[in-house]
Amino acid sequence: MQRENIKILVVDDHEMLLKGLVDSLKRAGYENVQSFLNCDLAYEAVLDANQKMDPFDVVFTDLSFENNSKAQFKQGEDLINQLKKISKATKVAVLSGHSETNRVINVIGNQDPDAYILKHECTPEEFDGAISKMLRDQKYYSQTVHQKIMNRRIIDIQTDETALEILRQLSKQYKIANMVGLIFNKKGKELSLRSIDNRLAELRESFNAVNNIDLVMKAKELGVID
Amino acid sequence: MKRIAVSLLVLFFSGLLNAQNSPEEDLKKARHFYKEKVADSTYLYYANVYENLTARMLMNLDDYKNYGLTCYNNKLNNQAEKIFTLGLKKAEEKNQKKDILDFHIYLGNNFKELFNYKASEKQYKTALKLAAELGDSTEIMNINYLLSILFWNQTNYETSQNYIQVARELALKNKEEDYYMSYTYMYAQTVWRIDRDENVLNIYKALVDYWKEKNRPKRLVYPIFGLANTYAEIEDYDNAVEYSNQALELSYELKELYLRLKAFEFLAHYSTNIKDSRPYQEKYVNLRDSLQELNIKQVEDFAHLAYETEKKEAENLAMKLELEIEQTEKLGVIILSLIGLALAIVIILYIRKIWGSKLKDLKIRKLQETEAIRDGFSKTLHDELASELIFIQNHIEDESLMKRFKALSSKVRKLSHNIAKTDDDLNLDESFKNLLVDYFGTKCKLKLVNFDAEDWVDVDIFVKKNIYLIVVESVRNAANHGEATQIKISLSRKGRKVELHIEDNGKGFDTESNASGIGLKNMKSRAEDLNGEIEIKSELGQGSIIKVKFKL
Repeated sequence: MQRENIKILVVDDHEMLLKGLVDSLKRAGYENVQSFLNCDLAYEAVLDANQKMDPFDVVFTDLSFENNSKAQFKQGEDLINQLKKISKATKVAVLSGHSETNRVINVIGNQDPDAYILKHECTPEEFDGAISKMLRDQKYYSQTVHQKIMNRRIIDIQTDETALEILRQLSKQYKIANMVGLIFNKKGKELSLRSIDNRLAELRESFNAVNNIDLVMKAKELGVID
Repeated sequence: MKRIAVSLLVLFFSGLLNAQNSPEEDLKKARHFYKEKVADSTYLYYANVYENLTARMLMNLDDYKNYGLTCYNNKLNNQAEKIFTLGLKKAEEKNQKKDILDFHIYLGNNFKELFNYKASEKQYKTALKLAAELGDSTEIMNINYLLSILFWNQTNYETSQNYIQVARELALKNKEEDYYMSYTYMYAQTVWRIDRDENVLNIYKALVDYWKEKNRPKRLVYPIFGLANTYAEIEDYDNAVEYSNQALELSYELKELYLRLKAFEFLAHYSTNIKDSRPYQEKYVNLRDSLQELNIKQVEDFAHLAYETEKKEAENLAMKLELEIEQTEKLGVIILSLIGLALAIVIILYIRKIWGSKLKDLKIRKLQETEAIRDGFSKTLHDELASELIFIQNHIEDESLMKRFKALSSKVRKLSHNIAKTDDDLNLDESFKNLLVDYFGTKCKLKLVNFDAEDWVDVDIFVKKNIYLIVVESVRNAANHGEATQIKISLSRKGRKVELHIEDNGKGFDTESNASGIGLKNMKSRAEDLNGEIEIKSELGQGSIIKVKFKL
C-alpha cells in the first residue's frame, strides 16, 4: 500500500505531543492522519469511518488519559478492548510513555495490541517499521519493550523449577528420551516425552535459540543454569 | 455507642499509626546531620520541621541558613529561595544586620543559579550597601568579586572588570595578598576579553610564581590554564601544549576530574598534529561520558529527594483522615478511665465482633485516600511533566544535552510509575517478576518461596499493594546499593497470619546511615499501614534481610 493511502488515527490527550506525533508521521510520508484528544472522540471517528466503508488502517493510542469521569473510555486499554471487538481490519497500536514492565506485560497480555511503541523512542523510522509490520499482520514492539518481554520470559524460567530441571538435564543427557522419568511438574507428576519436547520448544523460543545445544549455551551465558 | 466502640478499638489496635517523631527531635537530627555533612538527611529532617507551620517556629536563623544552603547545594533552587526569603524576613524582624547581609548574599547566589541575573544583582547590591553600613571591608571585597562574576556570566566584561578592580584595590588596602592574587586572575581574564592585551601572559606568569611559592596547587592551576588558553589564542601552540600538560599534571595531583577534563580538551585542541591529538580526544570523550553519568546520577538523586518531599506534602492531606481517628481516640481515653479496665475488656470483646469490620473500613478508607492522592500526583508527573519533556526532547539537536535530557525524562517517568496506582487487582508473583526486570534486567535471580497464588485471591487490594510496595523498596535498595545477584522472597499466609521475608546477597547497607534512610522510612510506614512489625537487618558486605509480620 502507498504510504499516503494508509489511513491513520492518533489519540493522545497532550496537545503539543499529539502535534509532534502527527508531524513525525507526515515526515515519514503518511499524509492521511487524523488526531484526537480523547478516546471517545476517536471511537466516534472509527465508527463513522466504518459506516462509510472506509475504515482506518491503524489506530495509535496512548494509555493514560486525563481523568474525566463522564468519558466512556477512561483509559487506552478500554478503547483497545472495544476496537478489537468491533473490527478486525483496523490495527491497534499502543503509543505510550509507560515503560514499566508491569504495565507493558499486562497490556500485552490482556489487550494484545498489534504494536507497543514508547513515546520517547518514536521517530519517523520507528513509525515506518511499526506500520509496515502491522499491515503484514505481524506484531511490532519498540526495542525497550521487546527487551522487557524477553527478560520477563527469562525470569519466568528462573522461577520455574520444571523448566530449570529440563535445562539442567539437557546439559547432561545425550538423548531427550533419557529425560523421561527425571522431570516432574509442580504437582509432582512425571512429564511425558511429548510434554518435555513441547517445553523445550517454548524454551528455545524464549532464549531465541536455534537448537538444543544453542539453548543450553544461552541459558548458561545468562546464568539461568550453572 | 458506635463512636465509643470505635474509639476504644482504635485505642487498642492503632497506637502504632501515630508513632511520629516530635519536631524538636527532627530539628536536633537535622542540625546533627548538617554538621556531619550528610545532605539528604539534613534536607529530610529540616523539611519535616519546615512543612509544619507550628514546628517552624522552632527554627532559628542558623537553621534557615543550613536548610537553605543544603537545598542550594543540591540544586533545589526554588525551595532554597523560599527558605532564604523567610530567613531574611526573620533576620529583619530581629534586626540582625550581619544575618540580613548573609541572606542577601545567599539569595543573590541562588538567583544566579536560576539565571535570574537581574534579581541576583539587586540582592548583591543591597548586601553591598549593608556591608558598607557595617564597615565590613572583607564582605565588601567579597561582594564586589561576586558581582564581577555575575557580569562575567552575562558576558558584560567591562562591568565585570570594574567590580573586580574595586575588589583588588580593597584587597591591597587591607593587605590581603592571597585575595589580591585571586582577584588578579579574574582581572587578567577580563583584560584579555576586552583588549586582547598580551601583557596578561606576564600577569598569569606572576600569579603562577606566587602560588608556587605559597604551595597552593588549587590556586596555581587556574593561571596555568589561563596561560595555555591565551597562548593558543595567539597561535603559539607549543607553549599552549606545554602549559596544558602542566595543568594536566596538577589535575592528577588534585584529583579534580573536571580540571582533568578541561586539560584533556585543551590538549586535544592544541596538539598540532593529529597523532598527538587523538589519544587526548579519546581520553576527553571517555572522561566526559563518565562524568556525565555521574552528573545524571546526581540529577536523579536530587529529583528523588524533591519527589520525596512532595509526596510527604501529599501524605499530609491523607493525615486529615488520621486526625479523625485521633479525635475519636481522645474521647475513648476519657470513657475508658470511667468504666475501668475490666469492664472495658468485656466491652471490647463484645464490640470487636460487631464493629471490627467498621474499623477495618475506616483504615481502608484511609489507605484509599492515600492511594488516590498518590495516584493523582503520579498522573500529573506522568501526563504533564513527562509528556512535556518528551516533546522538548524531540526538538533538541545537541547530542550531549539530548543524552542528559533523556536520562532526566526517564527518571521522571520512573518516579511517576513508582508511585502509580497499580490496578484494580494485583498479581503479586507476576508483579515481583516484572519488578525485577525493571531493576535488574536478567542480572539477578529471583527465588519465590512459600507463595501460593490461591492464598491471595480474597485478600484486599490495598493490603496486597502495601506488600508489593515493601518489596519495591527492598528491590530498589538491593539495586541501588548494588550488585545483588539473587533475591529471595518468601511470602506465606497461614490463616490470618502473614509473613514476608526478603533476602538479597547485595553489598548491603548501614541501617543507621542516611543514604538508605528514605527507602527504609517508606518500608516502615508501609508496614505500619498494615499494623505489622518490620525488622531490617543489613551490614555492609553482608546483603540484607527484611522481615515483615502482620495479621490480615
